[in-house]
Amino acid sequence: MTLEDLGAVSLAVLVAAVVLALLAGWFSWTAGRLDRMHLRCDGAGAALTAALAERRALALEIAGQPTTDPATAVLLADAAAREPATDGSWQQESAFSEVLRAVWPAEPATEQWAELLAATRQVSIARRVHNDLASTARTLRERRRVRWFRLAGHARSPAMISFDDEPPTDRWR
Amino acid sequence: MRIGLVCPYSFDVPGGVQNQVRDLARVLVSRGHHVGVLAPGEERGTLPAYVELVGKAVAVPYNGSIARVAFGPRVSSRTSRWLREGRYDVLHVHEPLAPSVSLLALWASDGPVVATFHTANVRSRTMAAVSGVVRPSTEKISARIAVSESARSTLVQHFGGEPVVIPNGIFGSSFARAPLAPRWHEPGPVVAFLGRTDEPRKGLSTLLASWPRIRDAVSGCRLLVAGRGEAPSRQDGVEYLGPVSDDDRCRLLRSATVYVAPQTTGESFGIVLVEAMAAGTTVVASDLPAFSAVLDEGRCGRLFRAGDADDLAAALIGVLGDEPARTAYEGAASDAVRRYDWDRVADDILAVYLTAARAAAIR
Repeated sequence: MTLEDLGAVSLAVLVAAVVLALLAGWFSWTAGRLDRMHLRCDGAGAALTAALAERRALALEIAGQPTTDPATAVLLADAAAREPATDGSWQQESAFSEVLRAVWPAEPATEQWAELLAATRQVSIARRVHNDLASTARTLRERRRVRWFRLAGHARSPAMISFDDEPPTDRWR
Repeated sequence: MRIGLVCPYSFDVPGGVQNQVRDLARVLVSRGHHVGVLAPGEERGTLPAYVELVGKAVAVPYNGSIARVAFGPRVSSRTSRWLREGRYDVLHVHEPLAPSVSLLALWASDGPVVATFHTANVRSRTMAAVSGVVRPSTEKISARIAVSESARSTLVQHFGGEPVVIPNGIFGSSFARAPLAPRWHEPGPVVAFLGRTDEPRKGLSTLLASWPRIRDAVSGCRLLVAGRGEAPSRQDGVEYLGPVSDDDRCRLLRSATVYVAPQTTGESFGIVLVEAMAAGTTVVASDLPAFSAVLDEGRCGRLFRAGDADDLAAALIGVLGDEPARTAYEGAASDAVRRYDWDRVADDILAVYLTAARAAAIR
């Protein structure tokens, strides 16, 4: 092998090393982006859980009031007392929204009803914010470099959350 | 809650985004929140103390028009200082892709960020060119708001996702209760146009082309044109009022028989349509997607083909000569505008803030 050949070989090695380093950098940057996206999704999911808990608590509070008629109280308490499902099914929350629409009074008498209405709004906004983040993350996960090189690691793909969160009334307050 | 609002466009000149930021700040303060506003500009005038101006804006061509924005190392360090000293629970940046303080604030922020996207007409080439550059910043956003379905679909087309739609707000009662201005009310009927006279996409030339026919068909009909820019050559029955104050804007919309919006392109919301509806004035507007949405596909006002002077003339002549139709439009409109009232819009925006703040606190 001549000296010139050696030079060509080491140049090729150098180029390959630079290309590999750039690729590795790009991959790790993408993995970092994905990681942050997953974190943000988790955060929004937790905000949704908090909003749902608030909605349940307020409904229970109204159910316990002496001014609430007994049928309404039973329906509210029944819907609110159920523990939220842990299997990723949001069926209960849809049922809850349905109950709220059924029992919603034409003239809500107490301040708690207004607070409950605000809580239902908080639920639907939190669900939308979560789904916006989840769908962005899912789009990135579908990229070839992410799938082929498993850049998402063990993180599970964020699921879109869908349930009926139609507000109980057209009125605003 | 401590809320930092950032407006990319200069407070020295009036504009849709500036007005929204200013009004939102007022509403949030009135509800007891601590608010700071950051924007380009240098004329303090009667601005409240919570507004921080970063200095004179430069006029640069951006996205097909002239934007008055501020950037550079000095602006960047002032933005960082404002963020540091404000210690905001939520940062709310408006139009985060505009090359100005919103983008700089987004860059410098490390807390929860809510972003509102106002435009629907970002050029695809612009978007393709910048999306790579700004992506790391846009991915810091905790929650995205689009002001209309048009703005939302533009955003989805370029960045994907499912942003929340929350419309622009208006103080409905200030339009409904504005006093009539006799000189703009009598003799009628009066058609009002608001907007720059020399910006082609505002559509004044379409309106002026149809005007002789309208004037022939509806005797004594007057056209009042309010807005900056040079007045085109005089026509019979057309009066140029020049730029008008906010109060006069309310009064003009309230006093006119019909408000006409002949814009040809580039509108993502149509706040003036909503204001006219709140004032109880019939709206005749071009059929841009955003306008059709505000008018509920023609239930709350009359639509005509954008840029079509013949169709505009037919629409205006029809509406001016048909009082029952106007009453029907105005009735439908007065119900429809409730969803744009600041009371309601601010509730939705606060719900987004709370979601963003909670999400950040939990993770």
